[in-house]
Amino acid sequence: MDAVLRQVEQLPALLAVSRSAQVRDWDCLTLDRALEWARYFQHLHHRFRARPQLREALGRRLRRSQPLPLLGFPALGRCPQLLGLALLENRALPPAACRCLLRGLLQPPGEGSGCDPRGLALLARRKAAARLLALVPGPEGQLQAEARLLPGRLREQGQEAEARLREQGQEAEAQLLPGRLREEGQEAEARLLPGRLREQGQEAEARLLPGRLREQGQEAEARLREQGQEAEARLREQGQEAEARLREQGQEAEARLLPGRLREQGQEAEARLLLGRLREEGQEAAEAAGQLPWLRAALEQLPQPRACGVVAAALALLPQGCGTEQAGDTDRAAGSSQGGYQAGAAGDGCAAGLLLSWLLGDQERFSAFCLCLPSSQLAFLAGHYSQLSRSYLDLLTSWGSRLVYDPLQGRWVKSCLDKAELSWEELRERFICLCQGPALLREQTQAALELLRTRDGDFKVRGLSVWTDLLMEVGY
Amino acid sequence: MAQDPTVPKLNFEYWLDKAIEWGQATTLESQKDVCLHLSQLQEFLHQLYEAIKHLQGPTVVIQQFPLIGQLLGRLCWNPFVIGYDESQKTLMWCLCCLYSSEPQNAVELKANSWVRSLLCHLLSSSKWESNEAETSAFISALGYTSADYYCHLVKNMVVSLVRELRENQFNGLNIQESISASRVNAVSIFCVPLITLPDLAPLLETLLLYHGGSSKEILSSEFLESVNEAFLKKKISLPESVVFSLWLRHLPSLEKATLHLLDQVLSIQLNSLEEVACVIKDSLLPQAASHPAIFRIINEIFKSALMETDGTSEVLTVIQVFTQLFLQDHQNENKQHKFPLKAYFPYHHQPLVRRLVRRPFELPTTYWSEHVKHISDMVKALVEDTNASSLTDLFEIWFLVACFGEWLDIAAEQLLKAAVEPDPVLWLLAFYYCPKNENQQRTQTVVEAQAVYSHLMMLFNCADLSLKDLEAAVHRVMGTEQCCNQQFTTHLLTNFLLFSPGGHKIAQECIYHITEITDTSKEVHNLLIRTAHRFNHSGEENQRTVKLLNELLQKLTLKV
Repeated sequence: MDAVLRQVEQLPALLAVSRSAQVRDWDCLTLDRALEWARYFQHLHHRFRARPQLREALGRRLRRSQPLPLLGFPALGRCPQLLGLALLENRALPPAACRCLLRGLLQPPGEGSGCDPRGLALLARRKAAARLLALVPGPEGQLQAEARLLPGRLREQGQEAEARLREQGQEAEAQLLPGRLREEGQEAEARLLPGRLREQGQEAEARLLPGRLREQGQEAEARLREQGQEAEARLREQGQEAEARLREQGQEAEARLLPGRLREQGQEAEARLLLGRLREEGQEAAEAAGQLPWLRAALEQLPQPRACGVVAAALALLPQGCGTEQAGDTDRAAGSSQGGYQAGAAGDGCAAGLLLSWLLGDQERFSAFCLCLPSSQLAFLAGHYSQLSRSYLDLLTSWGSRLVYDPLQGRWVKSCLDKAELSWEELRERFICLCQGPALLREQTQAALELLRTRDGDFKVRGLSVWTDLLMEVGY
Repeated sequence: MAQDPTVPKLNFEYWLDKAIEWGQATTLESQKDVCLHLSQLQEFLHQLYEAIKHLQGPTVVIQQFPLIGQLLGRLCWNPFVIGYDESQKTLMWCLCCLYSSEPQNAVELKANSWVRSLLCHLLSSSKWESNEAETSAFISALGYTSADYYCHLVKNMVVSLVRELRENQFNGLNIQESISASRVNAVSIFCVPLITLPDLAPLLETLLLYHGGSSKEILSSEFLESVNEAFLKKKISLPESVVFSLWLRHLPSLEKATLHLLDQVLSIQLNSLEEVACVIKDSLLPQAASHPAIFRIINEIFKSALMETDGTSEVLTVIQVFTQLFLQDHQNENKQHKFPLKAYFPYHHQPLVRRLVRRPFELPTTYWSEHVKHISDMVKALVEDTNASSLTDLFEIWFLVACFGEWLDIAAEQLLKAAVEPDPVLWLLAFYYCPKNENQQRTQTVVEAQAVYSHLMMLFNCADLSLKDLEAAVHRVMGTEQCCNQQFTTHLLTNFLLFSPGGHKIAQECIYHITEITDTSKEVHNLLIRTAHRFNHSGEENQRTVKLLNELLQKLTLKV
């Protein structure tokens, strides 16, 4: 057993090498040996998966042999694929070794039987299946949700720029004052960075120098008007161009961001893998109490909104009992789930704790999380995790208290336009969703709002306290 | 360039044109076109691989097939092609043939890098695809591979589509939320290449059970045909209810399934009726036939199969066993929604149907001859009544009787085993073997049968028989031009050999003699198989008969 443990210790190094430039020196023999090792590790997995004590010993040794414990016992079962795919992606692998790799991985007919004959073909098939199913056109509602979620920020920027341009154009037209125009030009320039626009702005500026204008009197004024209109037209043209470019960028970003269904499902797939990993780590994590460094490292691989989506999906899966499912290919892992079932519930609690501590550990992160997820999903999570519901209510409170009442418009508006906070409408929707949740959550939300209203003087008239108005909106 | 004669001509231009066309168009029409060509393309890829696998290096391959790179590259980006059956495997093998372990020139260097990019595209959530870069980093940071990721991703997508379809099915009235028919149709088209992918099973089942608001079929016919084919080839298994739903909504599939069953039974050598029953049961057709519509369509297909094969005895055997299995299911069904028999035989004389559906074991043996007589009387009355009317009516009556062939075998047996009034029984058998009575054919058959029968009865108790004693009967078998009379006489003679005390001794010799000279070995074999089956079920007290039967069967099986 000692020998086996020592061998297993080598796995992280083997995988690390397979991802490094060191494979430059590999020949066919080295490669075959590496693949053999991978198959041997897989064999160990099959042999020990039904024996909890040995399993644990192997897992412990694996974790101890790497800086970040990325690989646990189940990694042994995946070894040929981990190694094979890493090598396939590693361009440093020389052609001779790569040819051996391809033969080893793909096994053309009549070349002996390897570890998992249909493994890679199945993978390619599944990848194609994901692409095909993502081609299914979404229903109307889904399209809208997609549009809302997608390159939201880019599109918003585009619209904003457009609106600002229009405003500026109108102003310029009305006043035709060169100074203003120049100012506007500069402002527009600053906002609409594209180089050509700046050039145009400078040109306009040069033509519309205030000194010359004053000297030229009425005649000049007429000319100026012409020029101004011209400049304005040009500016508008530029603006439209910039707008079109932005829209293009938006569409590109949209295309890059995958159709909604695929993205959503992709997040869920990622969430399931994350849970699988957390469950594998379960025991040790419980002892370590606190955040796992690899969890943070893994989540940092994703852009923040996506990481938020994945964590939300994972937290949503846990109450459904999906955490007890074995991560990874279930065809292969079927045997190992029996032993793990008992530990399932405890492991899930542990997984949820770790995810929540990642989420709540950083105020900015949590605030981004609450901004980018839809109200219904947040309400669902708040209904299941009391820790989360408390922080969520606190955050909503702080956002709400920053709204100010605009008596002219007769509504609550943001006190600071740019800040990433919620508008009155969004805030209202979040509270409504919370009040549609389970009884406990509804009571908690209501109590919080009532307390806030009391603190504001307990007025029952609209427009004085945002909490009074919110309570009226949610129906109390 | 001179083409190597050993290399088969592969139609590259055709497939390249197709690949370009598919790559550009994203309409439903072009997607359907891909689906229609998938199996041909797979065959082409297979031939291609066979053609290039022994060529020495990529340079030679590219010289021989200059378009190979363009074609494979395009195909790798088509998810329909990659998703289909085993195409992705063959495609990857072909790519491997273009990879050189020691690249000799710029082309080979370029080919190597190209092959690796394509393989990464096919297999990893790779850095080369911008939209998946983050996923790739994330899953590898978790210690997983793209294999784990796509396994979950596909399952999630399937679950989500299934949920959507089911919810929609139950909230059918809510128009706003209902999924448009075109969407469901699109889902069914995208499933065509993926039918044999196990992850898809729940989606296939949900789709096949899904009916939209309108009475028009919303699933694409390509989908329905492909599912049926995969099921018949046993590439997938489906729950019974799903198969029934498929056949109910798509008649071409039901027709294919029925013809497939006939092909299957006709292509194997049958050693027992139990074996036939197994194959038929396995087809799920008798079970599906509890839907009257399905039952009636299957029978229509059987009828045309009978016409086309000129009433081959194997087809008749299939029909008879099928009917038995159907009845068995129908009688075992305790459901409230059990259909009345009339639903299955709406245009037939109901009293006759009720008689025929009685299974022999339900009646005491002593009552069998009377039962047969009743059947004969009824059929005779019907036939004589419809004398004036069409051949079609006659055929319908005959088909009904033929479906319940067990009673005909019992009738022939009763002639020798029990004291029966022979004329009605002989008439019934004559009707079965010679339904038409143009030019008094049937009347003639009855007369001849009566002569054979009385001759055989005279010899029945004769202990010491020789082949010579039977010469007259055997002569009738061989001498007649009419095949129906030949079969009828063979039936009587075979039963005589089995059931008469003196027949046993000469049975082997006599049957050998008959089957040698006439072309009736298949019919005799079928008759013996049916008799053996009945013995197994209701028991035959005479052990000598059982032994003889088995010996005869063994001899004939070798011969057939």
